[in-house]
Amino acid sequence: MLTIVQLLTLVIFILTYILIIDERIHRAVAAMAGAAVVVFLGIVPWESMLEHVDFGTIFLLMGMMIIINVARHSGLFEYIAIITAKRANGSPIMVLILFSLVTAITSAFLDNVTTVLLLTPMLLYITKMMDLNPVPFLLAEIMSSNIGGAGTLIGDPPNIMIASSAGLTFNEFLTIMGPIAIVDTIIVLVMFVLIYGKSMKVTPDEREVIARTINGLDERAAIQDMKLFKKSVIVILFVVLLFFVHSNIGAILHPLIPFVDAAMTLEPAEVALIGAAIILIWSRIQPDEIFEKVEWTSLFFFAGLFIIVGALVEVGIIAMISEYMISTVSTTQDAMFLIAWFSAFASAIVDNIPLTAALIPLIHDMSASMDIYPLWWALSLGACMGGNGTAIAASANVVVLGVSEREGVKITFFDFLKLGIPVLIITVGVGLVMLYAMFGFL
Amino acid sequence: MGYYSGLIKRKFKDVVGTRYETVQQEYHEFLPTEEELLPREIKKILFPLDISVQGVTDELCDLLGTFEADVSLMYITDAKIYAIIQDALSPQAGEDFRIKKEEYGTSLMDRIETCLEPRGARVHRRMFLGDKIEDVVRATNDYDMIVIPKTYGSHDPASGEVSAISMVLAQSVRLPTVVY
Repeated sequence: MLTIVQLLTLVIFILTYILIIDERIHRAVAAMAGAAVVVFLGIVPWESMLEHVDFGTIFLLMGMMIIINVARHSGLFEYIAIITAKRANGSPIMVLILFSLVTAITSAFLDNVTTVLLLTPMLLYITKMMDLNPVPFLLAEIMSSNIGGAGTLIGDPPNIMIASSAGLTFNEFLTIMGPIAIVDTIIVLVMFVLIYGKSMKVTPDEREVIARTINGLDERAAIQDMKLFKKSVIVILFVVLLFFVHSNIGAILHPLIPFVDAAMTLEPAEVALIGAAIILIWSRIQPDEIFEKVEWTSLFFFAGLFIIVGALVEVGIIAMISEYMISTVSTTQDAMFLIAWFSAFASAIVDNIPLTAALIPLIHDMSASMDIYPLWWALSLGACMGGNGTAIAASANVVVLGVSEREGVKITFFDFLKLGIPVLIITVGVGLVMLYAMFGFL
Repeated sequence: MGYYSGLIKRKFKDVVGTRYETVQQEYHEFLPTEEELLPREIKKILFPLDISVQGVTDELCDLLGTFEADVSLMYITDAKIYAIIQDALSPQAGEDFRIKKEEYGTSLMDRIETCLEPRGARVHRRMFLGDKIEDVVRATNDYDMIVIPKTYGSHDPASGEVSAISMVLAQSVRLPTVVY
């Protein structure tokens, strides 16, 4: 039986999440308002409020936002988009495959929202030139972004949150989620080729015209600042390299610089902030110009969410759900199964960020009775791949659909659902089997 | 607007903010527009003239001839100067000014017509008192292309520099433009 405080907390939590889903008021405002209420009512005491906010997630997001915003100034993304289009040699199916691969790879290392925001206008432009229905291309871009983002620690906000809270490293993500992302990307691309391949066939003459038109685009014209372009590429590569070694940076540096502790590690957030500092110093762009483009609303949204979920922890609701789950599932495999599928389908409705925020403390709470290490991967799999389920399941979906609607291309909720749900089921199913195999459950 | 469409719009606005407008503008700067990509059929060409224009080159006539279009030669005498002369001197002085300018206009248009018609262009003529910028810009709505002589409206045609009026016209009209 719930106490009045528990009931009240649950009501505030549900109301806040409804506001976030509906978004009639800005989701950051909804999250902050919910957080304000739980703090005002003393459910989350002021002293412990900051303990609930995961600054690892917030600083990692902030650092990456700064890097991306500087890189954007250079025209890097537009350059990548034109080069990709040219490589297709006028074949529409190759445009779909190459754009999907580029989106998946870029989303794995950079922010999904920025990636799709910058690639979608180019994709729409090229489909217009090819005189083809842009919908399959856009759907492929969304799915690739969500699947590619699942492959690394920094690829998707749920992974950032999970890694920060569970202390997982970039290389752990790469070795466990990376192969799943690769296999799922291939499967989804094969699905697209089978479903839409026929409708994308063009005659050799048409193909030549398309190739000629696309080859007429000048990728160098996209580069707004060549010096900044080179600096951005170097800093992004350096940051990615630093992510690869962040968990054993001390062991690498110690033989070269003896006073560096061999046991020293860098948090992912530190890596992002180091990258941000380097690019700000090196690019010489006025920092206020970049800082004002940091998505503060997203950061406050995350902070608000952490506090609201913290309220559920404070009043014991998370412990109650955890106890119930432990009594329902007897083995780690069962728990993985439950978490992966629940998070996948719930993400499709709620949006994977607030869902992950709510499930992280639940998994922490289960640590007393089972090995929760495999559960983090089940959560990552479900939350990231669940983003493909519906049009509102992930931010990348909303961005692509929003851009296409502004450009006069409509993708209905059911158009998305028809493909999104099968993709969700296949990618989570395949991913779960791979996780079972990796953890020796098969 | 259905709930779904409204929801996507709200979420898009909240996630992207005003970033999309910037992205659109950046793409606009280096991608040719759909209109620019379409081969444009040129059927009617506007060719403004005045006292400062001295003639046409054979190369220009060759170029205009390739369109096999209707070329409208529009010779304009500045109405304001005409009015000032009438007010300051006499109505007859104003008329003399107009007749003198239009005599030059007729001979100029004769030369241009002689150059264009053998190359397949159909030449039409108009001659009137008016504004050298406003009347041309207004007329462009009915044409597919404009040819602007670089000394059009110039106070010093012998210098060969692009006149201020030609510059204004080239920047104001939304048509394929030839400045010669």
